[in-house]
Amino acid sequence: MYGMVNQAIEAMVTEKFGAPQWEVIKARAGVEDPAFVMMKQYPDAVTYALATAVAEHMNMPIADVLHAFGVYWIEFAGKGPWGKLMKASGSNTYELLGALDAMHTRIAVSFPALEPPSFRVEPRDGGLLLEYRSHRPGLAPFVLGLVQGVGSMYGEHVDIKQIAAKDAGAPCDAFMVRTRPAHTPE
Amino acid sequence: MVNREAQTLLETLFPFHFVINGDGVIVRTGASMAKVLPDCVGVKLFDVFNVLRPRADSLADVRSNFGQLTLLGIRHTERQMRGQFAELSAGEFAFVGSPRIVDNTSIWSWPVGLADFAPHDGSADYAMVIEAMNTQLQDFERMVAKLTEQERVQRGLRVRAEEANTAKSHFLANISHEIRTPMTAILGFAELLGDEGVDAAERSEYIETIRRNGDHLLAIINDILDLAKIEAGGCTLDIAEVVVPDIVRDVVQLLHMRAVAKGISLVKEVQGDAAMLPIRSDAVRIRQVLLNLVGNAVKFTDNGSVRVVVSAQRSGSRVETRIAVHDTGCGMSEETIPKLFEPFSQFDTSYTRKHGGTGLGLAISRPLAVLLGGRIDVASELGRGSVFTLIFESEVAGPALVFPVPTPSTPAPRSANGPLSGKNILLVEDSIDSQRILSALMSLAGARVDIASDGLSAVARFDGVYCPDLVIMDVQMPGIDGIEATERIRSRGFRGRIVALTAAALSVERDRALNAGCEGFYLKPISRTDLLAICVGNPAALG
Repeated sequence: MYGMVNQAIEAMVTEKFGAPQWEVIKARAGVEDPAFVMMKQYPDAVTYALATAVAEHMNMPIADVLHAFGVYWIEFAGKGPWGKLMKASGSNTYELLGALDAMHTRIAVSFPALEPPSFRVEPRDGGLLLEYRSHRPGLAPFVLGLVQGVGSMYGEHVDIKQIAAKDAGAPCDAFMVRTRPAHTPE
Repeated sequence: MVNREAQTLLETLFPFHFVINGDGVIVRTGASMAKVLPDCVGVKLFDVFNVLRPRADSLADVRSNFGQLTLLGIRHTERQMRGQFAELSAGEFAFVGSPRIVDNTSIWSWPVGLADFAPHDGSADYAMVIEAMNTQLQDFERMVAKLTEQERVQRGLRVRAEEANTAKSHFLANISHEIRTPMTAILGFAELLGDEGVDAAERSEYIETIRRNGDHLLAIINDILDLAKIEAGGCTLDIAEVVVPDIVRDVVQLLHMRAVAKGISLVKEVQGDAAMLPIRSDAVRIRQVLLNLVGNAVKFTDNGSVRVVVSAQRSGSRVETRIAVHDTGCGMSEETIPKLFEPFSQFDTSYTRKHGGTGLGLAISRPLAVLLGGRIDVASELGRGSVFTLIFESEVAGPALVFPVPTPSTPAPRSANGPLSGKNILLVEDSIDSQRILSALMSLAGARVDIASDGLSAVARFDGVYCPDLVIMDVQMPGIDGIEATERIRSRGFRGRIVALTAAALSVERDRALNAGCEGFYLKPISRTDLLAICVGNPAALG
């Protein structure tokens, strides 16, 4: 993965737990780099090790860490220039989720080694069926958080439920997504 | 009119296209173009656009440039489109293209999103590349800032390490000097003691010199051990009931001789009743800190005074005690103050050589102050003096102590034939040690010595009947001082001799005492011979 992902983990840990905790987590993950370079390609193992180290050090389930990171990722990416890109890709959660593949393909012009996942959407029952395909295992909780983060960015409340899991033998992970303006009751 | 398939293809591949008829009027637009210019249908091409390159001012010009890369400017805006004009059919032609990306912000100001660009359109990719470049630049700047900060921290650590190393070298050199000096005296006089020709007086002097240097050596070693113990975190408090002014009095008394020897005054002052409250704290540690603070003040003050002021603020069962040591010494610069409390750091080693000591006193005092639940504040001005304040919090031990008027002992005369035989002397003195030595000397000389521990109890004795032959009056005392006590005694009609015996060496003190009614003003410490000379009224015999 590109360094930007690891930068986001660093930013999340530093913001929520403080810089000294990040140094401990980094050491626990066996990471010796003083800092991550955004455009440098790092082995996926580094990112997995960092997420695992956060979970162990904070005594949290790894799924909770990935979920929190999914939420934070949107916030992190949205703070920088990529926020404009996301906003230009859709004006609400459904539109952005539907444009994720196109967005990743365009981003790949600048990140030639990018191996993004694929998101397919399909309107269903007044909501959206979101199919997630990735060669990276175990990241469904990250997707759950990511969709929540997208909803927050647009001021929408998101209900998301995983309805199929690749780990359980399904062809891909699948989620049902329903949104409503954040201020409306359930 | 183009056929439906061609129109669909045009719409799909070029959502920013528009079609112009033979009269030069825009007749249709693609969906994305409609977002950019929603009202352009029915308007003439040149009313909406300037054909900038290749320059065209007429439809004929436009037609002659079909197929060429063309730049259009949207009138009354900064926006431009790039693409090409192409013949359709039946006199219609079209412009196919997309917004021109000028810089990284321009694309986001258009009223379109990424989905409005055709998938094959590289314009949006170009916008992404620019965004990525900017993000990389920010990343680079962030990295540089981080590395710069790290370098700054590293440089600071390096400088501090070098300073610490230098200070440690100075310290070791100083300690070596401090240890060798008394050792030289000890070894030298010990050797002399072995000489056959040494008489009793010399022997006594040599032994005294050895003892004094041994004491000094012990003080140095104790300081070093204390510091090591504190740094190892092995220092604990022994909490008991403590009356701070008592400790201050002891410290002031202990250091009085040193102040007198330097010709400066050393006084204490208790402000407010709260300061007298008994508290729960460690008297030994408070005394240790104060000895360092007051000792330093005396050490670094060559003229003027050292004043120790005790005050306290009670809040419920807690009390904050402040002991401020004011001096009129050499003072320090602002840069020096932060280094004062660092072990192995002395602000000027020449001072230590001049004044002696290990330079560890403050390094020991600060952690002790913290241990006591407080701190040491420093205010100083170069050339004007310093104020070191020990501030600490503690529990109130109980109800305020009631200080009874002391019932001093009245030593009986020990000699019937001494030079003071038959004399009744009132000694007004708050220091227990001074009471003991002075009364012992006078009793041994045959005097009957009456002791008052403070000014008020001394004044109370003069009821019109009481009439000692001599009053020896200390000056600095709790309650009313010796000056006021003398005035009150005189006002009660006592006409006998009163002499002031004090450690306050200032001439102004002398004048005050004489004006109040003292016949003489003598400085502590005082020898037995001088004391007796004063007592018999023969001060001319003073040594």
